[in-house]
Amino acid sequence: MLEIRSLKKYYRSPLGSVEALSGVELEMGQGEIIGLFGENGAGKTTLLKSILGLQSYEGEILLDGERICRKNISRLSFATCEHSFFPNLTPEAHREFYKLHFGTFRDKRYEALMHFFELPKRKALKNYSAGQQNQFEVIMALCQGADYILMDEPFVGNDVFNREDFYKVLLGILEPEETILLSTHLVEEVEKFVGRVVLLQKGRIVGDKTMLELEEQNRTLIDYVKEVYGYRSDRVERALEELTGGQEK
Amino acid sequence: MKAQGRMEEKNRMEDNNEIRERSGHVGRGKLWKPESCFPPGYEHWEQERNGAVFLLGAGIVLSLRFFGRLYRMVKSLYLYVGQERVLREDAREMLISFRGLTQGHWGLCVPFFLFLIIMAFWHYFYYFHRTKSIYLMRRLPARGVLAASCIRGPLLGMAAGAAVLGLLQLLYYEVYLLALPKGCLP
Repeated sequence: MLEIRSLKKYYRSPLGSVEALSGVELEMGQGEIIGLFGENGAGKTTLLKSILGLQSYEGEILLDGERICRKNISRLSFATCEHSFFPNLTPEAHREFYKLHFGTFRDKRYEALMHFFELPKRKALKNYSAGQQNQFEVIMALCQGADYILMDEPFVGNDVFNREDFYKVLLGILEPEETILLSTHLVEEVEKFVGRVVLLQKGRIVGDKTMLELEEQNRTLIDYVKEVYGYRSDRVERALEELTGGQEK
Repeated sequence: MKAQGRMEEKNRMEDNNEIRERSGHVGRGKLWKPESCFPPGYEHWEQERNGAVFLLGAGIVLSLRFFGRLYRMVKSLYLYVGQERVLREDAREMLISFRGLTQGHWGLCVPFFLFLIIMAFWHYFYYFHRTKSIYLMRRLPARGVLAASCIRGPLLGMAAGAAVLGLLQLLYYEVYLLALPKGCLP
């Protein structure tokens, strides 16, 4: 169980301190696939980086009751759109590096995914296309052997078929104890893939529902997201009316 | 078939070598590679090594002024009576100590050490270049891997540089002792 208690994060700026996360409370059980949604600047990346200890924060983040430290950090893996691989190294060199540092590295899964996505193993990653780099980033996060796999917009730049393939493969290979926290903007696309959604707005959790609950309420994910964020469907029509109608008059 | 088999074997060996070379980490019992002292995939280590050798070499070349100073000092200890060279009576007082002779000497190697310190920081910033591999390095369960990858190369360079300078200092001292007149030996 990954528990986040009263998580606060402030960024200092010349104009004063900006609150990026304000009192986030979240629990993630093993085996869950959670979609983390929110507009730009809502705090998604900040939340993920705080969990990984990549930045300082106030509050508490516990993994099975213990603070995240060197002892248990290998139970978390991370795939980010910023990419965390070494661009000059080949995938094979990465595999060696991961095997050296993460004893739980899933070699078989690595082979299968590299083969499935037809990624060249002897080519330096800097020579991969943006889509291939994303795929490799996610593959390494999945193969590290972590229980909690955090993904921050991992498919930016991938085409829709590619993303679709990934979701299917993910559902097929994940083991029951593996948890995924996926931060993305592609709400409709991940609807069939996630089991729970967490909505962030201005550093606060404004929605947290399982897909089962939404199904029972006969609501789609996008409807729920629009409702929580107070999206006005007539907003565009009104704006267009104001723009064009005003001219006609 | 045999030729194909040989090609496959060759490719496998190339792969293995590449992994060893580029991952920057060599296992126990394997041949030590200089790349293992630098961040994984760091491609400028050779230029860095050449730069350090150049700066150290420049410092050493400039330190050769020692011989000029020593020559002038020894010459000043003698008087010439006709064609004969005679040690001055006050030669001991005129003697410049080895420390005095080499004062400020090795300051010329400061750029070498500064360069290596800057390189240690440069290695850290390498993890922000093109990607954020710093995220991976900071997530490693083993302690000190990130710091070691940044400072191991520069520290090794500093140790090697210090050893070379120490040996040169000893050599210069030997020359100093050999060049002094017997009556002036410390």
